[in-house]
Amino acid sequence: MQRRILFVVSHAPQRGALTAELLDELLITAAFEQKVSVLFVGDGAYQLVAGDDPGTARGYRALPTYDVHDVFVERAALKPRSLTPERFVIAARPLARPAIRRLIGAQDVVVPD
Amino acid sequence: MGALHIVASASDGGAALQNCLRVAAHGDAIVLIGNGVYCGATASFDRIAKRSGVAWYALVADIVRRGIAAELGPVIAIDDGAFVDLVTAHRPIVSWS
Amino acid sequence: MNISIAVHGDAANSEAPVLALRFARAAVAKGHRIYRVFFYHAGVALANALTVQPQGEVDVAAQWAAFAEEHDIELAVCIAAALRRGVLSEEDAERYERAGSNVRPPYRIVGLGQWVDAVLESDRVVTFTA
Repeated sequence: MQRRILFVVSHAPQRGALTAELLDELLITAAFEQKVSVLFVGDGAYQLVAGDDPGTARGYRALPTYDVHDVFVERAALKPRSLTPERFVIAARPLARPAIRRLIGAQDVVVPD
Repeated sequence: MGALHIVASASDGGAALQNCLRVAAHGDAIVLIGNGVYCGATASFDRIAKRSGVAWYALVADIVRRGIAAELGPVIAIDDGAFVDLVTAHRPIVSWS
Repeated sequence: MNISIAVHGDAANSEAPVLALRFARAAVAKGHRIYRVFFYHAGVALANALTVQPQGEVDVAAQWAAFAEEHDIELAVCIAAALRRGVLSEEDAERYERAGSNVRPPYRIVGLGQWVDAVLESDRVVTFTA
């Protein structure tokens, strides 16, 4: 059986092991061939900018290898934080509110960070 | 069926609830639990709740424990059994902290 | 329904384990089945047999243990998160040459695959965040 599972990241990075653990959970779910997607909202958008931390960037860059291509970021989160998609470590599609609502409504399980 | 959002925190200026409200759809439900019930006691909450288009609930045990019982306006105070019913009546379940 | 529960916070720093247990009790009272309880992130601390609660304070880790034994519910603790936070099975204590093991029964150290299994087998998954 295949479930639709969305990981919602709403916190900025650098919170000890939490990001690495979220990525572990995400990658193993994908390895079990589930329909995995990721949505960065609010301060979670900061996770998409690499900075000096190779570990987090490497983790996110592994997503396509695990066949996770549905990576989204809340469009409204970008401008207030002076973020632009060109700075992201992986491709993340900006979504407006109606699309985010549809994305969430289509899921079986949502995992918070 | 709509989504059920669980808001368990009021810290960081209510960031959890703010994030939740930006992505909650009309017809979804939001349940305030634990420290999330403090969100229902803020001065601006009434206005926010009324234009949100979602159904609001809060766990009565958590409201009473924090001594804010009188202040929750449009929020329906529910017991733990009703919380379980909300979970079974909605999908997916989205937790915010 | 089959309901699985994820607990992401520990007892000393969050209300998550308490809220999750209240939910689990209510779900069982309504005739639902708790398929698995999965302790992740800080939540793995509940499996630490070495904690000592002050007299008169709630011991939610013990309450979960009693509840799980009464209703035959699996308390699954993620191995990677547990190792990071110093909760080690006998096997891991030996493997990593640590002074002792400290997993309190009936909590069980498992791999993340058990969480995925819970997602696949449950009608609802509810997460209690830190």
